[in-house]
Amino acid sequence: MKIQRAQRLNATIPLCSTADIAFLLLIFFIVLSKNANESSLEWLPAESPQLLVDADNSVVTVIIDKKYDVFVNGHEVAPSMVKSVVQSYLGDRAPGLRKVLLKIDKDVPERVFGKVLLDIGEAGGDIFRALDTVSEKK
Amino acid sequence: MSIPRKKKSAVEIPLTSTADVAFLLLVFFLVAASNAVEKGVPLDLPNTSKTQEKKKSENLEVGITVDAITLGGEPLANENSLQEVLRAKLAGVTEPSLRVVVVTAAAAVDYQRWTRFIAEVEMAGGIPAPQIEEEETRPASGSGPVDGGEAN
Repeated sequence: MKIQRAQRLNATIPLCSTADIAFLLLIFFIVLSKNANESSLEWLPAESPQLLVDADNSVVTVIIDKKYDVFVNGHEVAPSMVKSVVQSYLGDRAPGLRKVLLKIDKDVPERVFGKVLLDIGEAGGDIFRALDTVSEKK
Repeated sequence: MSIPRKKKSAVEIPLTSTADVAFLLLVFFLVAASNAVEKGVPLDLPNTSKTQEKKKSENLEVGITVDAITLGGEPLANENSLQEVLRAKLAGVTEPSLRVVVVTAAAAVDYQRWTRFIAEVEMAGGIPAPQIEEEETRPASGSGPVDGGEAN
């Protein structure tokens, strides 16, 4: 009598969703790398009683964190270099397209932020200060 | 004769795609967070210190120190009244160049305090002109949060 062999099953991994996963991972790492530079910096915005407006696209972001360190577009910069670095980012853009977003920790003293403000002004940047609305807590 | 009962089939929610959904949500919130629009206020700095010197003689001057506010060199009894006092002084002044208020701050004044009074000047109808002095003796800004600044 002929013994019937068990039929071999084709073991294949379904690859339909591989492209989806690859694409998701790609987006994930792009987003992560874009935010990596500035997200680690610690600064608390000052509160202003004024009516705040949305910041449009800026060319340069200058941050002074709570340790009084200065960062231009996420890279730490020596205070004496702020003017030249901002100038190099702004290039020869037309007036009105030279917005510099300024994020300064609320406890930074004038002796630190004053010099940075002056340097950005001299570099030809249009300063836009990132602020917070006054909190209600009393 | 026993009647065969129908076999109960197990009711299960297919969870195969849960990871996909979770990952999509994660990416969505990352993107949404990174695109959160910053809010703030623009600041016009006077171009040169020469124009400031010129303005200084004819315009109102607000001085900010750690614990006081001066207007034209005279200390204000109540710093919360700055907006009110400035509004009264600027009432009737229509020429923009005369609405410029020169604002000086002591080296130890923090950004929160400075921001507050710059806002007060603007809300009173003035055009704040922060006077920032370029000092050779300014300490490097990366020197860390050691508060040893003195009033100007």
